[in-house]
Amino acid sequence: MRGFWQREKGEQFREIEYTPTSVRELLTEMLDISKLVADLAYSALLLDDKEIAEEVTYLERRMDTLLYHMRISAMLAAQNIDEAEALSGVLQVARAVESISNAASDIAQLVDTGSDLSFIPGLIAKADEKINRLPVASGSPLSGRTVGELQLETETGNRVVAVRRQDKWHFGIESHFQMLEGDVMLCAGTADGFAHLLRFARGEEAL
Amino acid sequence: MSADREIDPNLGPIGTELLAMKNRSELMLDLAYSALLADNEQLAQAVVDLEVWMDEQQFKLQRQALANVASKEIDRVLTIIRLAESLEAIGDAAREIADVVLRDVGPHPVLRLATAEADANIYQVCIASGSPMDGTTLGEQRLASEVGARVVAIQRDGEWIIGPDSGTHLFAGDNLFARGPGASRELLVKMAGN
Repeated sequence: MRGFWQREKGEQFREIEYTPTSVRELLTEMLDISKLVADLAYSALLLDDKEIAEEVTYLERRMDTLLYHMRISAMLAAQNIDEAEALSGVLQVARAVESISNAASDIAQLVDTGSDLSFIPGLIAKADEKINRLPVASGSPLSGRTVGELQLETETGNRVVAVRRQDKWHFGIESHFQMLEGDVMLCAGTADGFAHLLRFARGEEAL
Repeated sequence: MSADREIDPNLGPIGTELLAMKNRSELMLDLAYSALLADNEQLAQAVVDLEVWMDEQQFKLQRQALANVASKEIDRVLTIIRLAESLEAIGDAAREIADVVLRDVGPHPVLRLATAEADANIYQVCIASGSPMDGTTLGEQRLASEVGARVVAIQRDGEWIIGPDSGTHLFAGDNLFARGPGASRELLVKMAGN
């Protein structure tokens, strides 16, 4: 397969392989990342956590690769002028979504660069979308359940951004991810939704 | 008048301005995705309106931040300026997405398919004159518990109220931007009618 060389930090280049993927699959993954990456960037700031900031950088690079694939797939998909016109809209959305990850990466890079982050907790606490930590206590109804079966996002309006397990962050939490006792979930979403989730976690309320 | 949030004494006025940018950048993205999903020009136009505000806000904030610089605060002010820049970039991205909806060409079906899997469920409802909602507060309407809709923004006479709370008053002519399942929309449309 042909590839292209992508510039990385420090003037290094890295070859990206092109593999045929459908425009829809690519766009879905790009949208998923763009939603996650902003939550992660704010989490990195809030916790002043380098590891989370690195995950943002990783996702930002993944996004570059996806945009590259997207451009090629879109070009190959156009059969006529009308389709090319409609696909140019898809490319515009893809580019916009990629620039969101760039912005998130800029936010995450405020970690560990001598920035004054002391006001960040106050800012996040007052924002519409908050970030909260939720420890999974022993005997909690969360323990042993997966994100998917609980439908956490639908039920509580809170997204699981990452999970801390045995001193290690787990990123890219998918629906089959099973919560275990001792985990600390990092959740992003509304305060009301989190309060509901918290009551569920304590066994005080059904979802 | 913007009713975003009262000023946090620890953050000062710049904190409140930054907060408003953060809240709006998120709303703009959700609106843009919802506009794509529903191929809805009104939602897209709302993004365009908000983006103009973001540009002005970023400039205002940078000016304010620099005016308040004392040497020991440089790091904090720099962080605020850089954060505001990123938030503005997110607003620009939302605007780019909205532009696809506002273009004459119908959006490609793949956009709807991909956003359907994202959480794009914002819709817009206007309160008619004579609606029972006119003159009441959001809290009195119990929209979240009884209708399943959460009002995330209100557009009134060209001004925006982002993240209204239970004490926010509702008036005829208000454009409500709400989030919720399809059934909540039908209920809300009924309540907002006369």
